[in-house]
Amino acid sequence: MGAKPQETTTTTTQKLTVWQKALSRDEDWKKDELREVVFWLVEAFSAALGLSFGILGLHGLPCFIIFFASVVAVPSVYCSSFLGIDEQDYGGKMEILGDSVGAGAATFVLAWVGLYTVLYG
Amino acid sequence: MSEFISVLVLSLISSGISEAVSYALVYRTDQFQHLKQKIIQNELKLDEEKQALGGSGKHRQRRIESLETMLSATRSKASGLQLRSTLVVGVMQLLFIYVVNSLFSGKVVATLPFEPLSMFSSLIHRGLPEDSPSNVCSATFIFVLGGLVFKSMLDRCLQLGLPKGTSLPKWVTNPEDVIGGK
Repeated sequence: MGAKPQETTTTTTQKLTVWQKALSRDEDWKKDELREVVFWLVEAFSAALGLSFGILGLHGLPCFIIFFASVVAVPSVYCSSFLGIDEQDYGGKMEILGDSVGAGAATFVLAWVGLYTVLYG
Repeated sequence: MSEFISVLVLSLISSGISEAVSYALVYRTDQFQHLKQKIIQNELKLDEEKQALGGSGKHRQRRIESLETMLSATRSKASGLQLRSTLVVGVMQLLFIYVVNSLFSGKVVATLPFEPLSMFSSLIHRGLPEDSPSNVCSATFIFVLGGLVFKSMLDRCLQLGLPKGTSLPKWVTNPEDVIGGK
């Protein structure tokens, strides 16, 4: 009986997409990929926060303070606690956030104003 | 609310047209594509150098500085090319704002859940009667905000322009390096 040819199993590291990595811990990140994920995270969070404030009818300066504090904190917590990366390796918190905060602020105000107008205007 | 949505739709259309104009004038040209590829390659090299463990500190630092200088020069050239589209897009945006003002003049488009700062009140109350309450806003403000949002999103989705790179100055991202005089 001839020996069966040895099956060589090659373990290939499957290349994850950016969004698959975003849901996994301890992956390797390039700066551009991280900034892309953080941008969309900030956009989604800003829209959600704006809609929440609009539904609850919250108004005034405290809402802006809550927004700006959380829009910096949320990506930071996501990056350090969930993704397990050190922000300093990518140039710091502001380097990762980049232009996300400006677009996020506009999204927040639009969502907040829009829903507030519908419900309380 | 229908006016609010109409203004947002107009804002989306204007952002889309602006991006299309930029693509037609700049992004699809060979010169811009060549510069973009060069920037991407240099950024990769720079990242590799910064993460490299071996090599002497001084030589590595010099290579990093040389790459940063090359990157900066390439970005300046690419930004110079983009200037063409920036001027055209700027004029187009002014026209769009004029159209929005004409269509929605005197109409309150939204109620603000906050008291606007006085420096923004001319934008927020543009086209509204003088005796309007302070917490109402005109179409112009919603149009401008929508433009900010849609432009960023289109930029991210289509990725036609330059890679983002370091968009903020060093004193913002790494103030300790600047103060420490490194």
